This record gives sequence, structure tokens and C-alpha cells, in this order.
Amino acid sequence: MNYCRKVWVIMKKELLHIFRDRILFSITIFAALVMTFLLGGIYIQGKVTHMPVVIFDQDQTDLSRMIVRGFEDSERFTLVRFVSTYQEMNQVIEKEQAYMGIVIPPHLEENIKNDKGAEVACIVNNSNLLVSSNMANNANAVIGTLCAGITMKVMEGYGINHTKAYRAVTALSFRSRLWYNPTNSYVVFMLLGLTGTIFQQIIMLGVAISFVKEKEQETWRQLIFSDLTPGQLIWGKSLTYFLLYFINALIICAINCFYFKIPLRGSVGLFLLTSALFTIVILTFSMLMSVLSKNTAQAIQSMMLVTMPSLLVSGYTWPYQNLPLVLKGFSNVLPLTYFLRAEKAIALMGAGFDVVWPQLAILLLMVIILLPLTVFLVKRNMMRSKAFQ
Amino acid sequence: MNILLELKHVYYRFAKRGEWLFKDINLCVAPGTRTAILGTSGAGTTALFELVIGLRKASQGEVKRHGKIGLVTQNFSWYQDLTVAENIEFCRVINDGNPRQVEQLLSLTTLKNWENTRAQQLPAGFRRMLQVVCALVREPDLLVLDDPTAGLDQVLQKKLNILLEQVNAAGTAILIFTSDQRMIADCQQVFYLNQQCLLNDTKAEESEDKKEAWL
Repeated sequence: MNYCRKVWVIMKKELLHIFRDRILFSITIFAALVMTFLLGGIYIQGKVTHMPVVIFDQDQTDLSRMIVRGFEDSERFTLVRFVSTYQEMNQVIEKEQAYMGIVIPPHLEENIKNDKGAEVACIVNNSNLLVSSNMANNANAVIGTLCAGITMKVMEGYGINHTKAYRAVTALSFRSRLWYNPTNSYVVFMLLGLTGTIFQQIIMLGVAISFVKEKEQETWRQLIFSDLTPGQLIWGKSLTYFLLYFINALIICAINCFYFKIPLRGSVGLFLLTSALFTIVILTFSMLMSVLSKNTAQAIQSMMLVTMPSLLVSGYTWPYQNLPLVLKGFSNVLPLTYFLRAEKAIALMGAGFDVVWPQLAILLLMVIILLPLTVFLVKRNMMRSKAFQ
Repeated sequence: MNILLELKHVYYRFAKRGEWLFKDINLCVAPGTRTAILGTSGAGTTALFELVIGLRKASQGEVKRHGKIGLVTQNFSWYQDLTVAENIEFCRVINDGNPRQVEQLLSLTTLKNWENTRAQQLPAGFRRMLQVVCALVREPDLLVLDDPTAGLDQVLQKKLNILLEQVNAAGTAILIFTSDQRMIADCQQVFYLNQQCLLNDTKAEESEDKKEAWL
């Protein structure tokens, strides 16, 4: 009972600190929610649409106008301008008034009618890979559809009946099926990864100062000379932050699921277990950094070194298999790597424990390594100066 | 239990090859006694205080401590954003203190009407009194104070002295690090920290030059 009473008084003290410090309160309670809405808001459309396109139609025939209409009718594109020279098109793209230029060659209709073939070019501003790959794929789709129709017309011109022409054109078709994110939605892809990263950052920011602030304010001296054990101190602080941040995590999950409609196809219990385990790992790591740091600035700097590259090397955006060996090694020691893998698998792929257990096992191993290390360091700091009987 | 604090031939310096800050310090604090260590600003009283309580490790020699120590540091070392009552309650629980004693201590100090005031809003002198109350809540065998009268007006200094007298009379040993001559009045032992050495009353008298230099 006495043990629990001391743990509770530490928890109460930590809660009072959080609620009375405006910045800490904002970070702990609101930051994750605000960032979730902000980032979700960026990607809420789900896909890139109405991208500006410039047309350079050198043919000016019914066929070329049909091609132009194909782009006009697509929700992915907005025709902003018609140009009459390459230089004009270059200027428009350079100024980013359009991201893509459609170049229809001269004599397009004539060449097609005379079996000479023709090529429509798409000039894409590739300085933004996300936008350019989207635009190029969609332009392919537009031209591809038109191409099939034109080919059929040509074949009918050769005397092949409509049905045979259709069968010839569709003899070998290619269809891609997009599992797990069939609508190619960016909000589904990015928001899971980003909210996981933000969540990690916020836990680290909040917890990193928990021990180091005691040292800065010299309250650490009083804790050393008290009858508190290292275990009671760590339990008190850990439970406080775990409860606060896990509730935060639940709210973020609810927002992701119900507002941004990110699917949760797997077990809710397994998803929550993964989130809880990740919270404990980050919390323990942050406490360790806090104990090792001499002041708040140092604690935050060391956090930043870990959090800044975390998402990039986790394999969430750039594939893990394509990382250099050294970065793979770095990725392998980051908790975020395993959390995002498990989270993505459970939420988007509906994976069960049989699939994600390796990630959970590694997260658990991290807790098993970090927690005793943190307790040892706190104990060493406390026992170094304690009076003895 | 005979000796609460013992320093035997203690030497201390900040860096391994630096100059000695203290040389051959010998100190004994018995239960129920009141001891003062007087030093001018810059003499190293705070460093000696930290050595005594164990925040610094002696470069040579032995430091032995027995029993519970209560600390009153020069800077406020409790929680600025907690109220007087919250600080005391926190201190009491983590030190298994007696709840009845808290009421008694509050009435002896000026803090009775300030219970719901946050520590950061207290006048400086009251913050010092809060530190003393928090230190006493754990019923220490030895109360160690670093410059306790700094920032206190005469009224508060008197109140502090009365409190320390009562605490001492109840059996708690007191060790004060101070530059205030008025604090040595009721002390059984007085040491002067002078030129890296600790001189007791007798030795201080013998080396008048050193004492005058200190004064």
C-alpha cells in the first residue's frame, strides 16, 4: 500500500506539472491531435486531381481535338492554356503554371489515316516525383483509352468488323489490382506513417524533460535523499505518461478511422496492443535519454537526432530493401520501423498475430533491454549520494 | 548511534590535477548537536555542503554518514509550480512523514495562511521556510542547511532560529553552512572555512591573522 501510495503521489505531481505548464500541456494533450488534423487535411483529397496541363496542338484536327477533350474530361487534369511553340510551353512549365505539356504532332490525323502512325508526347515536370508519376500514369491511361478506340477505327477501315476489331484490340489486356489501398489514396498511405512519427516525437518531447527538469530545478537532490526507491520513481513517471499518451493514441486512431476513413481491417485488439507496446518502448527510451542528459537542451537535441530520420529510414516511404546496408542497420534499431510495419499490416492488410509477431517480439525485446538499463541508471544516480545506516 | 557525520582527512579538488579546494578537512557531528561552518563568499561553503551530503565525492579521505539527512539548499529545490500544501504533502508521502507533524510545522512557520499559494508566487523568505518544513517533514536525524538566512528579513531569521532551536531540542542535529555570524550563537561547535582548511574555534583563535583576514 505504501509503495502504491508513493507511486500515486509521483503520478499526481507529474500530472500537476503537465496541467500547469502551458507548453507541456499543449504538447502532451493537443499537439498530436492538431498535427493529425493538419496532415490529414493536406492529404484528405486522397488523390492528386485537377493538375494544370498545357496543350501544344500542332495538328488542329478532329482527332487532335478528341485527344484534348480526353484530357479535359478527366478529373485529374485542368487545361490551363493552349500554346503555339515549344518555347512558350517551356516557359509555362518552368513557371509552374502547368506541370505537364501535351504535345500533339503535326499531321497526326493524316498519318494515322495513312497507316504511318503517330506519337503524342507528354512533357512532365519531374521535380516533384509525387505529382509527376501521378500525372504520367493518368496521361497514359487517357491516351491508352483513346488509342484503343483509334486502333479499332483503323481496323474497321481495313474491313474488319467491329466485334473482331474489339477482340483484336483487347486480346491481351493488362489490369492491375490494387490490394489494401484500391483507390490509391494518399491519406490512407501517408497518414498512418505520419501520425506514428508525430506520436513518437511528442512522447519523446514530453518525457525527455521529465527527469532532466528535476536535475535542472535541483529537486533531484531532494528525491535522492528521500525514501523513494528508483522503481517507485520510474513507475510513477512511466504510468503517468503511458496513460496520457495511450489515451492520445486512442483518440488519434478514432480520428483516423472515423474522420479520415482510414481502414482498420485487422483486429482492433492487436492494433491497440501494438500501439501500447510502441508507446512503452518510446517512453522507456525517452526516460533513458532524460536520465543521461545534463539539461533540457541536450535531451531535446538527442531526441531530434533519433526522430528526424526515423520515418525516412523506416522503410515506410522508401523501400527497406533499397536502403544501403548502413542505413538498414540504423533502421533495424529504431522502434518506429517495426511499429509502422505492424501498424500498416494490421490496419491496411488485415494481418493477424501470425504475421506481425516478429515486429511485436522486437518491440518487446527493446523494452526488455531499455527498461532495466533505465532503472539501473536511475538507481546509480540515486544511490550515489544516498545516506546509509 | 554515535556519530551522524564524520569527515576524516578529506581533500577535494574539482579536477584531477587542479588546485586543492579543501585540504585535510576533519569534522564530526554527533546526534543532537548544533554545528556551524562559517565561510565568506567564494570560500567554498556550498562545495563543502555538497561534499558533506554526498553530491560531490572526496578526492581523498573518508566521509561517513549515518541516519536520515534533511536538506535545505541555497536555491529553492522543491517544485515551483506546486502549492505549499502540495509540496509538503508530496514530501511527506515520499519520506513516510507524520501527517500530524505537518500541522505543527506549519503553525511554527509563517506558512499557515499560504497553503494554497504556489511556491513560485511566495516571497523569497517564505520559500526558504517551505524548504525547512519539507526537510523537517521527514523527521531527519541531521538537518543540513546551506546559507539558510540568505534572503530572510530579521523577523523571518528570528522565526527560523526559534524553529531550529526547537528542532534541535527535540533531538535533531543541525549543521549550518553560513556566512552569517548571527547563526553561530547557539552552536556547540563552530568551524571557520579559511584557505582550504576547516579551523575550529580554538584553532581560529590561535591563528588570529587568518581569522582577521577572513573577517
